[in-house]
Amino acid sequence: MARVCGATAVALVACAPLAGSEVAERPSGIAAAPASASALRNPYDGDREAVGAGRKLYGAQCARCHGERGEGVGRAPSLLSEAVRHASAGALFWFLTNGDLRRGMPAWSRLSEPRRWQIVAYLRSLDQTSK
Amino acid sequence: MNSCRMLTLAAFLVPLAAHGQERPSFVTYNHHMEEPGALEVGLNPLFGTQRGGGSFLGAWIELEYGVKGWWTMEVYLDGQTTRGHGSAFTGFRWENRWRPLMLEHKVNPVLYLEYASLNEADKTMREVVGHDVEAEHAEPLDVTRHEHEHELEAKLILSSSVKGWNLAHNWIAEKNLGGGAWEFGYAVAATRPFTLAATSRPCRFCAENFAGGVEVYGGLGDTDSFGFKGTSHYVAPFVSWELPGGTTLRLSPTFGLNGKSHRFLLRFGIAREVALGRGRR
Repeated sequence: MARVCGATAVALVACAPLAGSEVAERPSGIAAAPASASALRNPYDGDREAVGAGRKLYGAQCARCHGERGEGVGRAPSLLSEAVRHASAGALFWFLTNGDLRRGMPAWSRLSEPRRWQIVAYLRSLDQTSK
Repeated sequence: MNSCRMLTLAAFLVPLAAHGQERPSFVTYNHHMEEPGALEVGLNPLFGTQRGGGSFLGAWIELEYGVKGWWTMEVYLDGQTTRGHGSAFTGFRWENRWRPLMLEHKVNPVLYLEYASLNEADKTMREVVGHDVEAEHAEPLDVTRHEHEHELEAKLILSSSVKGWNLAHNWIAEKNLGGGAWEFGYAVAATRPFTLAATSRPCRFCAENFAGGVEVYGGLGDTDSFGFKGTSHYVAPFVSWELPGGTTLRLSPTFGLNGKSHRFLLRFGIAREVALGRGRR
């Protein structure tokens, strides 16, 4: 048993550098969203209360990296870019949920699904106000 | 370092903060990592009753840093004070957590490895393993503070998100590097925000700022005697409150489930996140 445990500990250490290699060949960012995710519709579509809630959540969770109005700060990209504006709500939701851990975008699965959809609703409103 | 000094140090550290993301449970880890480039500073006192000894206050200061999106590192400074026996700094822990899978799955594994340099006086009870029992904490501080241990601890963290709930399960293996058997333990938790959707208005006491749940943890013996015999177990409901300014407060009354356990523990936590830089890492 002790030998098994020792091997487990060694495996834990050995596996650590492998972290981050899982999706090396896959497309990254929002482009990695599968078609099934992209097809999802935002249950809060057209809900102004949800946009307000999303604004509050964005300010608390996202603004530090992406800027108060989604303009991007440092290495964190602008959320007013073409890639984000043309992404479907489902793709944005998928990206929020999974993040891009290799490139520093956290997975926001810690937020409940409704809250992630509320943030997506707010991002869509940014898209409209920036046009 | 006594508890008063630890509280003073934390008081200096806490006001630097930006926004808190501390998990609501105290013992059980889930798969949510610290944001890259963010440092979370926390203070976590633990009050415990003690049969055959003085009640005690253990505490740890926690510095949690997001190295990468998939890698979180933490340093803990532990201390305790026992009624009638005085106070002591009991050691430090250095912990790393890695997410081997980059995408969300039904079950999300996290690998955990910790080195701890502690003395036997430590009463923070951040995990329960092997045959950790209440009676060990009744030994006099003057004796236990001189018994030093170097420990290696590994955890397999399995965590799922299901209909607004987070369900987490930790398998723990701990080894005293000075010798002795591997010791095992477990921790499970179910956590849920009080409401799933947020409101648009700023609020302090509304349900969306609260999360709660329950965790159960205990020892599983060691390589010489694996199982529940001679082990202690606890059940602990918990609640966390995220204040709009960025502070997270946590509270967890904890109840022993058998005669080897402390009858009652009360955990409290305060944490804030310090933004060390903008942009992603």
